[in-house]
Amino acid sequence: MNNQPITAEDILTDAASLRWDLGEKVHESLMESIFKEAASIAGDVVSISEKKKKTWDHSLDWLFTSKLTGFPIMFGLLAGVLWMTISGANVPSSMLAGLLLDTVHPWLKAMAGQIGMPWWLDGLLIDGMYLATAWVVSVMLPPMAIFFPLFTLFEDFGYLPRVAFNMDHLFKKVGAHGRQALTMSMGYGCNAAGVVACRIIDSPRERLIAIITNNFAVCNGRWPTLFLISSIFVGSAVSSPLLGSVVSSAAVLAVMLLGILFTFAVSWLLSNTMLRGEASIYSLELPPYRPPRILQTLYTSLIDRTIYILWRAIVFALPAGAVIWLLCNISVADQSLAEHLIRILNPFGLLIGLNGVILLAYIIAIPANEIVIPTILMLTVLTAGVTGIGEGAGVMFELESEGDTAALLQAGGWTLLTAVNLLLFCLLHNPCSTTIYTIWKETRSVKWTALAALLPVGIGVAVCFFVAQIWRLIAHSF
Amino acid sequence: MTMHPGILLAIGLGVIAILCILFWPRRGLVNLWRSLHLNTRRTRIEHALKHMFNNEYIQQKTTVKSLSVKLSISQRHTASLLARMESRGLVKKTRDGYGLTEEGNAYALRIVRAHRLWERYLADETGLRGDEWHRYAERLEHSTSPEQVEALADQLGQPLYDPHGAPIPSADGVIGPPMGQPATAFATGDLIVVTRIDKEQEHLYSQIAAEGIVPGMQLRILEMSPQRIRFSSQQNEYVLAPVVASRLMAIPLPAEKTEEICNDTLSSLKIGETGKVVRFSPNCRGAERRRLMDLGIIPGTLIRADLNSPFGDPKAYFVRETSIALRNKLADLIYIEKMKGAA
Amino acid sequence: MENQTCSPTPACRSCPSANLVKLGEENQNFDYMIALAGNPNTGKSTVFNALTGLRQHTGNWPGKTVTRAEGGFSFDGRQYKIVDLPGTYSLLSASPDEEVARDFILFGHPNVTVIVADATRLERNLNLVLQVLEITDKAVFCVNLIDEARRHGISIDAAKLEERLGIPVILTAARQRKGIHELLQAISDVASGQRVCRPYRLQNEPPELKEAIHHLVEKIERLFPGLPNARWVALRVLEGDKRMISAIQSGELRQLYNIPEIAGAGQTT
Ligand SMILES: Nc1nc2c(ncn2[C@@H]2O[C@H](COP(=O)(O)OP(=O)(O)OP(=O)(O)O)[C@@H](O)[C@H]2O)c(=O)[nH]1
Ligand SMILES: [Mg+2]
Repeated sequence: MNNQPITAEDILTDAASLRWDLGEKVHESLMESIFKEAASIAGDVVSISEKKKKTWDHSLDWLFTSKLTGFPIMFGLLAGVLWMTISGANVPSSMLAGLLLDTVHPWLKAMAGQIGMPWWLDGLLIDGMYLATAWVVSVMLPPMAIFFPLFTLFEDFGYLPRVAFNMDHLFKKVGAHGRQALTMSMGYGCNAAGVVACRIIDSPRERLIAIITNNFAVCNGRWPTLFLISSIFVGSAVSSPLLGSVVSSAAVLAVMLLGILFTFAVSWLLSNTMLRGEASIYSLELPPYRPPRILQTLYTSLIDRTIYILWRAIVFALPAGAVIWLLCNISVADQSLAEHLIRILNPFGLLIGLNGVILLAYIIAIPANEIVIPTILMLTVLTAGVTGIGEGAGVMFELESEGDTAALLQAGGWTLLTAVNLLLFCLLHNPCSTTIYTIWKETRSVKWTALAALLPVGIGVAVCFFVAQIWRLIAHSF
Repeated sequence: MTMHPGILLAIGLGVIAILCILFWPRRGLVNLWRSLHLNTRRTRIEHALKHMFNNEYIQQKTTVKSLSVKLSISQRHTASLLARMESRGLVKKTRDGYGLTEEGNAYALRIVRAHRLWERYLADETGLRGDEWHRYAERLEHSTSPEQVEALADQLGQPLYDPHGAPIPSADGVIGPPMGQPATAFATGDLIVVTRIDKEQEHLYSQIAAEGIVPGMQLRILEMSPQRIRFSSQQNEYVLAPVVASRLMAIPLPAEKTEEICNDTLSSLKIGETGKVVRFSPNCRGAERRRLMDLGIIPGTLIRADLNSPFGDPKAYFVRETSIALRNKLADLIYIEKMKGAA
Repeated sequence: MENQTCSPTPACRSCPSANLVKLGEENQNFDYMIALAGNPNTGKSTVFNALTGLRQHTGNWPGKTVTRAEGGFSFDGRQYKIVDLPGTYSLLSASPDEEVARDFILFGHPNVTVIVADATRLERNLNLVLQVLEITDKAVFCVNLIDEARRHGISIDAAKLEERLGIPVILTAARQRKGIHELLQAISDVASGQRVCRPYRLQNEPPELKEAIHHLVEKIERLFPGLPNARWVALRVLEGDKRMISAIQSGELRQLYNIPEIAGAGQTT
């Protein structure tokens, strides 16, 4: 045999020259031979009986993707899910609120009084942390417990890839990847998860687009804001409660569709400026429909998703409650910190059709969108000087019904414009801190992370600004 | 509320207009300013080196004139540029023009490697159009450090050819010989495979690129006259002037492949029809091609058009017991043979 | 987590095997590490959940899992760590979305690689199986979704498949927790070395490629004696895989495959 010592360099030079000889066809011919062998093995061991049962797959596929029925069914299902969530969550939400806020809270207060807790500790723990958490639970738990199981059923059935199939043409038009529809769907659960899911997009340019625009999919932390505001301001505009829930689901649906619209617009913008390029070529496997195991799905999605999300909300609500309470109870120059901040933010807030309270709430809620609503309500009590609700600065009052909430907000200077702009701002603002961190982890780039964080707020401020001015202009001229 | 909403609205629109003027793709002020600053001295030297290298590769000489045309600067400027390069030991005067020194050659190889790797990258990974690869690569090649170039090469799996079919010099400066001869050297009726498109004269190159002719394409020469040369491929016919066609390098089609030349594309299958994959278009490159093969679409595979999407664009195809959605743009790149009857 | 064992009565559906103890995420000390590889949407996460009692998200679309997840179980008194991976179509391409799985299968040193396949598309799935068998000797083939295959009138001859591939083949319906016990038994047999696999190796590569591989394998084996899969290394180098090339250059390949550095390696006499 050969006695020459071998070095790594020898091997690599050899390989390099062999590569020139073989040309670029190596991969192709290799794959060809692997599949040939696979086919021969499979042919040996697989037998198909002729009495193949006819499956529904093909008819279902036609129904879900045809020109005539594809999109109507898609929007119909979406609207249906939203309506079921809104109308179904109403009663349990107020029951929970009744229990946690009207019954448990006074009881806790009484307990604290009995053991002689100092007022500040009692305030911080019970009026701050406990109430914030109780609010989050009662606002979030019911809609999430309805929304996620429904969503999971569709996911297990195999409907999502068909949505991506239907929408692909639109994504192609704006230079994005067809699987972005899937990452958006994940974003409706949680934007951070949606951003991670963008790994299924294999072209780096389109993956970045999907990551940056994922925030336009309203995540679970923002659903409650949408549900609540649209039912107390939009839905209550009609008299019958049934019609009200239809109208408010329509409002939520409109916000969602607007989010999709913004996804397309921003994707188009990016693929014509910073991320230039045409839509690359893509493929998507359409799996067979699999009848979901309904009970098991309901059980696991309740346990996994809902409880997990709730847990996260609570973890963020506890410290947020403390912060709010402190902001409201530490005074500098005769006014609480919160009042100072709101005063500073108010002019800008009003300019864009919101107010200082909402802006402050969104700043406090950077760690988690879930706590926006409780914060807004509580800060409103503080500044509107409404008496009879709540028990003092920083207490998250108990509201018996949505009517009360509306009355409170109106006392705080809210108009329909404020509500509409809050719905818009809820869609168009910075991602939560977890998502921002996830974006950084996925892109490893400060530039893209900053863009993904700032672009939506920029758009949100601009949109709210224009809506406010036009709204006022019209109001002026009548 | 202090200001009239109408005034605010006007201010808002004004701000948006200013932003548009500044940042509008391509024509925005920011972009114009950037491209103005592109033509620095180093960039010019590097372009000159590349031009000389390409000329030497195809054994043509470089003169002050050819270089001034290439760089679109005056001959006086070109001469002083050459003098500067000479003083840096990059070029030397020869009997009938200028040639690269060893150092100049090594420098040029580095730039050519960066350029061709970038083109490969842009073609395979970004989805930019064919006529844009070169433009972007012209810009990127100057700002890429040697380490970055090597990282790029690794990422691309050390490719051998750029998307125009030109060999990429290896890191230690070895470059394969030119392949093929000008299309004008063939005769009517010949079957040829395009191996390379020469980019040295950009206006000629861009005509070819605009026609969508790329390396690997199989063409039949239908007509060869001093006025024009006519080719046909699977679907299209191309007419080129001889000067343009002389930039198209080709080799004769290997005999065993000649029967494959006429095929339909996958996108031409109607729902329910079945075809057999024959080969991929050379326009289907890199990751795309590999992904298709991973999905089990390789020459010889039976494939059935299965499902239309609402807009008719992606279609789902049934391949090896699985429904796979492909965009028409990709299905255009897969040649098939239609099968009679259902499979 | 469910830490108790229970008797294998048909009624006890959450306990697919008598000797299985699901350990959830506890995996401090383990005897063997198992990787779950396979095409997307074949039920890897479902198998993972059945073995560990965890609740990895599953969903009927390819690409549900994008990061790797770890869990543990103990079977017949041995501790196992099991890793759920994102789906991959192939180990031969460089698509970034499949990188996590590819890297783990190639460089994670699992003691046993379980390849999960969709019984209704066996041919397509065998592509990946054949590639994995080029890399490792210790593999188990789990043909999942067998309930669906039956529903479609497809039957699979497991014994014959086993004979062709040279590794244990188990038919499972993971969602119904069928065949999980047999799968566990096979994993434990292969892990402990009680069962020695003789995996199928590719035979029909094009001649010029075969020659090139042969040429390189000979050199690679001289530089790295004892390398278990020199053929694969050669193939990857021929395809210009940067990871492999730099592993050869730096000698890292030795550590990757735990080959002791023998003095004077490469000087075969
Ligand atoms: N009928 C049936 N369905 C199954 C079986 N195993 C898994 N499924 C379903 O198949 C789908 C895919 O399962 P997953 O476990 O998510 O598949 P995966 O391989 O992890 O998929 P990726 O993470 O996307 O690669 C889910 O909807 C499961 O419920 C089975 O044995 N029988
Ligand atoms: Mg999975």
